[in-house]
Amino acid sequence: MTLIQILAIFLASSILIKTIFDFKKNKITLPVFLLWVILWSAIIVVAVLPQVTVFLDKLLGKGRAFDAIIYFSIFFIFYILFKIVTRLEKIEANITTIIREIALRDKDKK
Amino acid sequence: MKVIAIIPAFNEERTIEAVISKLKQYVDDVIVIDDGSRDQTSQVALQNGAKVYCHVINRGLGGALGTGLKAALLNGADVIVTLDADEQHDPAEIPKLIKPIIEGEVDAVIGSRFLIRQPMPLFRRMGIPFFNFITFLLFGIKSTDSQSGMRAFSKKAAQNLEIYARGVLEASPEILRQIKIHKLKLKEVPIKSIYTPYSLSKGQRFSPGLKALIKLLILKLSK
Repeated sequence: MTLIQILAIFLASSILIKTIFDFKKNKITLPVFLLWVILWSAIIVVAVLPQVTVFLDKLLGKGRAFDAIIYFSIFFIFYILFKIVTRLEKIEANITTIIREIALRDKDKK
Repeated sequence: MKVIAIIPAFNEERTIEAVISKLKQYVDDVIVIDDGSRDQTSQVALQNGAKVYCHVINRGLGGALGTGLKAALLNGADVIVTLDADEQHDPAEIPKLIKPIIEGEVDAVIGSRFLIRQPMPLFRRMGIPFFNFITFLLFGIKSTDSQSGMRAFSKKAAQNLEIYARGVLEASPEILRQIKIHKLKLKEVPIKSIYTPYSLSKGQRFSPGLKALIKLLILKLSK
């Protein structure tokens, strides 16, 4: 086992454990929890059994598996980013609604 | 017809008194939205006879305008005028601005600085047409001055507009977008723009422009 494998296993499992704890404490929702579990488990599987990438190679053509992972990752990151930004905008609008209500109720008061 | 002026203000204690006193002869009521100012803006406005509504936290121009529209409706407005607090607009132009609304011709009027030739700092002469173009590209609305702060709305328009946008640059295109969504009739009226060193110092630079651009894009994509 190479150093990079050990490092990947260590990092992925720590994050996995943290995710499980977060879910237990209700800090994250079920879909997010499942997503992270699948993602980090997949990384652990590939780190422990690099042979599975050979199967992916056969499926997607020689040397294409790595490309596919990169494409997918970038797509995934952008999607998450977009989700976060739209959610933030929604939160901002909600805050404005609250501040507006307070302002309209307390006329002429600082 | 009750005409109410709304002024969004953020740390404008230096100019708010002059703006309110010049306004009074043209409107029935003045409402100042103090958008979380840390100075004496709301006290000065109150002393000068304006009705004051305070945001506890700064919410940006769009947030303040939205609150202003609601406050004006609560105070029985038939026509609502918006102005900047930095003396950039001449209150004497209000009658001209609200005429199309009083006559029932349109629901919203934008005072445009580009319908007559007049001096303007180069940065804005270039920046505003760029934002007009972006507004057209994203929302399909043609405007000669998508960044104007001087506007008038009918009661119907005010009841329909829901404005939340934070920054100065994206608030005005957002208003135009909502005008289109609610199929309100819009007219542009030429106005003068007065550039004092004070109002210029509060003007827009490049990086907020870029930020506003990204936000408008997100607004377009998310709805």
